Amino acid sequence: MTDLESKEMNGGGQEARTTVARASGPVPALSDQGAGQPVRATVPDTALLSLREIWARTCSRIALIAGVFSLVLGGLLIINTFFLYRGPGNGKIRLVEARELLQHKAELRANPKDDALKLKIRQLDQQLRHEYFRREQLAGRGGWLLLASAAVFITAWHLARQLRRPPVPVPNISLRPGDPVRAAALAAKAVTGTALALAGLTLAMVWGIGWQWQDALTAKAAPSGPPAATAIEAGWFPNAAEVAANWPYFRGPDGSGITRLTDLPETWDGPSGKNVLWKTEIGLPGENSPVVWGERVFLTGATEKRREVYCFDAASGALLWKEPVTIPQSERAEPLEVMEDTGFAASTAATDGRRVFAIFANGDIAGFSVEGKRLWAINLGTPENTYGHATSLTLWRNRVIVVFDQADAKAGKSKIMALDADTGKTVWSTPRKVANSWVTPILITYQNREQIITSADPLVIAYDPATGKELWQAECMRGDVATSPAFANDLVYVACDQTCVAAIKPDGTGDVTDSKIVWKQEDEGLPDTCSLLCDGPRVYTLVFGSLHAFDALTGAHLWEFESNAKFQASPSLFHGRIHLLSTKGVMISGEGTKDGFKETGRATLGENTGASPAFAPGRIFLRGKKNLYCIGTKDGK
Amino acid sequence: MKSMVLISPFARSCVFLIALAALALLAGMQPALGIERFPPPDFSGHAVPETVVPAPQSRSAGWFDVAALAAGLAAAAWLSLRSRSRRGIVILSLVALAYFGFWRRGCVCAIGSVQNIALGIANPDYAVPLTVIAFFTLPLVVALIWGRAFCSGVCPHGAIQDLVLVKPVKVPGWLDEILRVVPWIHLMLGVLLAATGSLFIFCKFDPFVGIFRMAGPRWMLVTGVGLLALSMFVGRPYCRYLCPYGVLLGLASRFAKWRPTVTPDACTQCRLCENSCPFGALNVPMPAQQGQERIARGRRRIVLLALLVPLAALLFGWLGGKVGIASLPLHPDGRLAALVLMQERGVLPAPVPEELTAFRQLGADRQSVFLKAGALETRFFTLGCWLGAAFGLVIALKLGRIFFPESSVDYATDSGRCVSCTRCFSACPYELVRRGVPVSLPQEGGRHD
Amino acid sequence: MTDPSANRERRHPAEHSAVNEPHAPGRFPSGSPDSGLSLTRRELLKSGTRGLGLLGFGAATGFLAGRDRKADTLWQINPDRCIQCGRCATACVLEVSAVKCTHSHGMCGYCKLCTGYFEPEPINLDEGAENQLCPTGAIKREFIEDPYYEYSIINELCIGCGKCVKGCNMFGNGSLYLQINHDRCVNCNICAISLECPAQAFVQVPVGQPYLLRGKGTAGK
Repeated sequence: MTDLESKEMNGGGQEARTTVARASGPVPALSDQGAGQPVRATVPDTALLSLREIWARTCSRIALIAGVFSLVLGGLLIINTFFLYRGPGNGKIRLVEARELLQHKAELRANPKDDALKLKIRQLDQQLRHEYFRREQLAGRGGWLLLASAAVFITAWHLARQLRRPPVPVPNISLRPGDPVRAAALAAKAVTGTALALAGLTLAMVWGIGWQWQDALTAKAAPSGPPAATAIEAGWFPNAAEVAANWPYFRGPDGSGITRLTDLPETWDGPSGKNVLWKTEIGLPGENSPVVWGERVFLTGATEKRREVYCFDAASGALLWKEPVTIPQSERAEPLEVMEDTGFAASTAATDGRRVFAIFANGDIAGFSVEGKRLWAINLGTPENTYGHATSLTLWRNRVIVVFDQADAKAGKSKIMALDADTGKTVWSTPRKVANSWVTPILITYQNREQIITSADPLVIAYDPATGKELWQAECMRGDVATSPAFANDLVYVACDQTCVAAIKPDGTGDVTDSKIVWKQEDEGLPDTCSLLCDGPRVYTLVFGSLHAFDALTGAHLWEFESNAKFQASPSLFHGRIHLLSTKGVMISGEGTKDGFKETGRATLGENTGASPAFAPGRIFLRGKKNLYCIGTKDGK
Repeated sequence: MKSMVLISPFARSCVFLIALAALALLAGMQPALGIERFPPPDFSGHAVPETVVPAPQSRSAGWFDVAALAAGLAAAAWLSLRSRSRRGIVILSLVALAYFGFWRRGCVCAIGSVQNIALGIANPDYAVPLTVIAFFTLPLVVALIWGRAFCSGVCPHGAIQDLVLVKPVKVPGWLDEILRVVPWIHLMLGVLLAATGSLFIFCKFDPFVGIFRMAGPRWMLVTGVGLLALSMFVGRPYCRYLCPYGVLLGLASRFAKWRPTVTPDACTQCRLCENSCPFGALNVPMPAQQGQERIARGRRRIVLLALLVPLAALLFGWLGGKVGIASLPLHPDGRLAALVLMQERGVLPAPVPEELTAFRQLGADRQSVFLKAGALETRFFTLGCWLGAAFGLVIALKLGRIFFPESSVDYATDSGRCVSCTRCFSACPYELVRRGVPVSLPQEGGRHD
Repeated sequence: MTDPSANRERRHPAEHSAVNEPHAPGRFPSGSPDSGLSLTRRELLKSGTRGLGLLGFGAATGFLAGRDRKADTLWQINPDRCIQCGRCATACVLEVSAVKCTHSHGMCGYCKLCTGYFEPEPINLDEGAENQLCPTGAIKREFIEDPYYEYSIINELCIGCGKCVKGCNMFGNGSLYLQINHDRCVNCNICAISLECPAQAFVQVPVGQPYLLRGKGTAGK
């Protein structure tokens, strides 16, 4: 700062005040008396610097120091980030993966006995890690320090300027606006030019990209549908993750009715079509629920005479194929009587992504490829079932697990069997001392023991899925057992409407009736047909129109929620909420807490239904009496 | 809880050997997803630890933020219109910068809320959080009544630039007009991408959020620091030449009931305030024409706009559609379709992008990818056309305003551009008199003793 | 640093008249009835637009606020979709990513040769740096009983690179997986990593269930 400048920047004290009186007002604008002069005239000697000027100088020095400090610190921090990310590749590799270390590791591989190299790697590794975390810390602290110093810099600079500025502004005539008309013309030209340049540039840029999307457009017109599945080699079965990512059996991959998908719609309205992606008529009636794998949805339908398996395109709802199940010997069988509510196709199909399996009330069971090619079909014999066979299929590896309970316990006709998924041949078959039941088994793993959990009058039995050997049994069921079990908290939950809701520790062998039943609740909330739901802390049962909650660990009955609806479908859980689908097609959702059920909404399908929902990312599949619905939002959100 | 045990328990001691063999076998194969290949052991004396996850931070700040915003807006309006205090605005800016900027780390933010609103309007299933709706609406409503109080001292982005402004340099008028087109482009692109659910570019390319968080990609920090350095000389470059929310606020503020005025009393046109605005938001008096000339001017204006508006709207609407289609790869579904297409055509550069790896690994199918992309394309195109046309309209109206500026009698803050920073107040001798500074007042018409 | 007053010296007398003249005629325009009328009309138009604008904002707010809304959400990784590309470590807005590795011990095989811990084909099965996969040494390996070893993640050291996760998912049980740690996550409007994620594995979960954990006691798995 030169003396001259400091003089000109004079302010403060008495001098400033006189300056104000003169410089203010119209003086600068109108008077020809060089406005700078009076200021100069009142400048004091350097020796007699005003306090204000001393402050101003101090501030500018502080600003200078803080500014230089900030610059240096900022530079250092930037350099620091280059050290944090160093090494091969695009610079986004961390220090800890520096090239030397990787090189040494490669060298060691070639010469595994080199202990010196080992030591070198260890030292380098430690050194690099130490440096990495040190620099990381440096970056964090340095950032705040930089912020502080920048704040000091800005404040000091502001203060310095403030102190030197005369309290009354002086117009800077050299910056005065020029001729407004010319300025406007120039601005208009500039904006027009920019707009045109922008248009040209955009056009040039999109010209090259646009063609790619023509194909995407034509793809819309192309026939839709999932791609051909790969050929099935003998013995193949999907891995656990693939199974978990789909909805392959009744109530999902683990038979729990729970999905962790987070993008499902919660509101829809069948009659108005809101959030109904598509709706397709099914064909033959059936109470079975949809199962989904990838882009395919499977269902079955049957009358007394005809049985069919359907495959729909999950995206469009188009019927991809329907195949009849015809077996000569079952055609000749005696006419079958079933209850109307159960129908001839109450059992849900099962799929492994390459094949789909279906069983019907007359004992026909068949396997198809997902393209609709029949792989095998057999008749297991007409089951003696009071209401009609309704137990759904489940899969273990490449085995189809069939629980085929019939007549009463003494008749000895009930059995559980595993069929080879490739051929339909029986791999093992174990007789069951139980009466006819309608329970779909679940597969669990506890302490490395895989088990098939079944429930019927009077026994809950666990089998080894590999051999069909009985693992344990507990006698606690009676009557028409239809409620599928649940597994959570290391406990198997079972229930029926005549005896109890019970929790069994599945680590026993032999008869565990007296040893492994952890709790038993016999008084209220005993379910009739709907399956159990367990969200962890609580077990829920659906009894006609009301939802009951039990403490999952003690069995204490917690509360009852009367919904004024009737239920046939089993409850589901998604987005952390319980969803109950009534026979009238109303989905009641709400939160189950320890104190009660907090209803959060109802969504109407507009069609009666008895089937449980199936889930896929962004989509819910609901089967009405006549139509299959896909619920979802148009953009998949 | 279905899992598959591939190795029976008795073979446990061989696990390690088998694993070695498996490693060698699987080394070149497609990786499979998680399976229980090795059964978890049964320990007699060792307790298997629980899965530990850190507890989430409390998220109750949302409504407090809204209250802080409302209080800040009220304070800014009061400070800029009633108390006319620059010091007050500076203090408010500091508080806002500290709270909304460094404490809340730049999120929640009114600028970003535009995108949530766009997505909310376009997608009936997206429920915009109530706090975000408040952050979008409150500043705009205030702007309709009291001008851009939000910009003056509540927005941390504005505050950080305003506080570092030490030596303003005037941006030439023509350049200023060109640069002021940029926020509109930013807004239209941002809305296009947000409404289609592709990207939130206001957040992604936010220059200051990296500074507020003291972390971020290096380019973001460098841009932020660079822009701040620029802000020392060019007043609020982000607000004027980039901010998409600023143009909305500017639009609303054009219709404001009350806005800051340079002088609390009558303007004597002493011209002392002429260069006091560092943001080019102070208009010099533009006398209105009278009589016949005025009517002719009005006609010329109508003719110009009648020609320009449809022309610009059509041109940019057409271009907008093209831009929309070209932006398809910015949406994850569109990008996947593009990559699949490129791979099928053999024009995919090595190495194979992770998107395709994921696509193959997760067993998604080609057809549904293209179905999704096709549906998206239509949305991109339609929205692009509309936004392009809107942009054309903006350009046409801008030209109209340049040719036919609003007449004003006095020095006045520009109705759309003024950010209520209150800097110009202290340039007015009448204001100084009001504050009790002893100045001699200029006479009417510029004469003085 | 220059002072505006310095420029006064450069002022040219001719500028004054040029500057001052155009203003004179428009000095008292309010006296003209014509412009008075136009001002009123403009005012009317302005207040009309303002009213419409306020109404519009009100309507839009009502429209958007009236939506059926889920509880507030947080970002999380669906481990079933994650392909361990490694972008989590670098795409987060935080200097050290909010994504870190989580270990479900209940699913862990306690392998002696842990493919999440060791380099492929390790020289020795010991804790030597040359054998470890983790670049920051964030996995602790402890002997339990023959042949079992327990592995635990040292949270502070983990940078979310996913190297161990890849190893564990390719050859092991998948008990190691990435999760957003909500003590660090700033819950951006749109998660920066989610935009980079090639597998679209980022989902928004209700605040009440901030993690998507694998293994026992976890819904849906």
